[in-house]
Amino acid sequence: MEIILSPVTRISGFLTIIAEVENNIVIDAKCKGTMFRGFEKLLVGKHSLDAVYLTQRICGICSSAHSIASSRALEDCSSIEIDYNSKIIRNIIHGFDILQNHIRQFYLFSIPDFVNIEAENFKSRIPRDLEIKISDNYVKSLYYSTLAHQGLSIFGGKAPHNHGIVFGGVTTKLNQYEYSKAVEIADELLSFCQTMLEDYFIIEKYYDEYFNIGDSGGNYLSFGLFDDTPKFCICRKGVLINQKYNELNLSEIKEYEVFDEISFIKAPRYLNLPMEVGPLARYSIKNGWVKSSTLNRIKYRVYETKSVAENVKEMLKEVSINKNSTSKEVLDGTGTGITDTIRGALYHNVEIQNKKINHYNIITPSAFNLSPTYNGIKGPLEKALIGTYIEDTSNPIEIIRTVHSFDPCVSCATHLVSKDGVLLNENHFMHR
Amino acid sequence: MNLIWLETNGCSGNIISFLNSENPSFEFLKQRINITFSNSEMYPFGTKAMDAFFDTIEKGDYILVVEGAISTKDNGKYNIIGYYNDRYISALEAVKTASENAKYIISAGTCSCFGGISASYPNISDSKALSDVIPYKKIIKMPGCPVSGNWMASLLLNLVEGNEIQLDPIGRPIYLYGNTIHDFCERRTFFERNIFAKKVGDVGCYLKIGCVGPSTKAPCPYTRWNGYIKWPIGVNSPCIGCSSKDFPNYTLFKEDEV
Ligand code: SF4
Repeated sequence: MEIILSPVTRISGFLTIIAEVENNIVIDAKCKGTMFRGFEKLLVGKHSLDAVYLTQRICGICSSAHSIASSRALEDCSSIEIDYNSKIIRNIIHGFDILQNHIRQFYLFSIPDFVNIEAENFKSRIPRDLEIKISDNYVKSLYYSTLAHQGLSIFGGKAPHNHGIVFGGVTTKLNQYEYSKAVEIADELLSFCQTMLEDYFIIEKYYDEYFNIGDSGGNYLSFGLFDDTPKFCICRKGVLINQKYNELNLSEIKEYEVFDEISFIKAPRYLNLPMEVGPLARYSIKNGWVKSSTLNRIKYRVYETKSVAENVKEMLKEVSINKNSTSKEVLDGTGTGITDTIRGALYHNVEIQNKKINHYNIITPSAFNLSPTYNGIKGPLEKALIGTYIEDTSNPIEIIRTVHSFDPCVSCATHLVSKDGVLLNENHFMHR
Repeated sequence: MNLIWLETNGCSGNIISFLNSENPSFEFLKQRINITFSNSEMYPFGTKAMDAFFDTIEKGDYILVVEGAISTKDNGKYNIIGYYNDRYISALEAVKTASENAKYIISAGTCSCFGGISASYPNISDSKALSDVIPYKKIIKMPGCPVSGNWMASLLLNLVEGNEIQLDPIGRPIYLYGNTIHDFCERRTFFERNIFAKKVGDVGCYLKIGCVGPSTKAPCPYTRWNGYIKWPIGVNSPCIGCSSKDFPNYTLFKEDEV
């Protein structure tokens, strides 16, 4: 039988999962992202420096990542190296955004799949007293994710869609009043990470079969997180294929258009392989390969939250007071900006002509993870769902658990495809 | 009172911003408002989520919040929000249906109010402002990219308390959008003294490098943003007019004209 899950809620954007189920086992799965704006097209003709603010509007939950990738693309184009202070401030902004997302994702999006938070939604395995403890923390998490955006806003002016990150560095000049606020915010967030870890271990204890569910294939890719400030590096650039480490080679990334009536997700591939990206991929690339599974994805997201909080706290000590650096000398040419972010590897590529954007291409983490079947090969999330046992086909919560473990974001995932650097004409979309 | 928060073609940043609200906070408002449908936040998924959507509409007397622009191309096929009764429901169909019985309709964010970035040229998805899709309905417009969660929370609290909200001719609450950024900008003294910055990050008024504070209505200078500490001009960058009607169809980073 076919199960159509639409909408998959507790994510950003619109995701539909179509699962083919036989004898309560998922035998096939399709992933559809059902929205489309066409950012690559609307950027053409815009002033080059505007890209940093405009591309943030791709996504309301990870906007700072786009500001970093796009300013890097412009800086690459103009051969500019930004100063250490700007790198630190950018990483603090990004770090606070990661904390905001991971806290929100874990409690608001993932936890309700395992714990009865409000009503009796499903038969839970977790003893009631522990559920009450986690439910209390669920409410507290609202405060902490809000607090993380406050931390971001001290440096970025506002969140979502910050103003602090610009071409050539950052606009922010931190004064000591703001510094003192940021210090306590970072400290509070770090202590909440301990709570998050404890709650994760409760889930792990009662749902440990999810260590054997949700295998994407286990090929991982990272564009490097905080690797421009080596002391605070969360993960370097790299690729794990068949558990073996390889240097990242950007020219091995190809992206393919897949025709679909309602879905707009493209299929990026590395060496023609679908790649899983995100916290689990980062952990594996840094510390050695770990099996791809639903629980491992959740586990390493929670672990990473703590590492990022520790790093943000330390990075604050390195910010120069009252110092900023920006530029407006953008040159014509082409440039690439990459970074790992909340959900994984993010790629921006720009071509500037007469100070205007002539061409823009974006590959997002969710495009990697949610990519559709191409040439008969399943995308990572699709593959991870196959083999899942579903107890009650009218309420396939098992599928939702694995979907949420990828922290999908469809606002990010739907983009135009570049073929040999040429953007497909919009006419192509007209006959859909 | 029930509330439907409908995300359409956009970045879903307005719901994130709303979750960031403080005094009144999201948790506080949830004691007064029952959010029956929100793609980002609700527990039910699939058919049960769509049941909740249609049940709320049937009961009537709810608040409808719409964020994002409405894709109208090919009957809304570029933005599907769910599957119900053996067919896909487009955002276009969903807003038309949900606006029928709503007590209040709120456009959250610039895309929903005016089309915003989702509807900007070349607008492949033919996205439109909510008011263009349901032209005869009264809509409270809350522009901003995104709208600050604090402004949304304040509006919702006033609505559930039955307070009258005065709107300007294009539908924005006057108590929030009555003044321009320039009216209360912390850099106004630089403007008066003719001290203009030559690039972002510098000291001075940002008028000559693209600040559109004089023509942008929003309360940023006094409500500030997250945690009431900072706002865009407060971190040494110009107001880009993200709450204005024509955002972002102009150059944000202007060359210094001096
Ligand atoms: S920075 Fe902008 S809003 Fe502030 S005084 Fe100058 S022109 Fe007005």
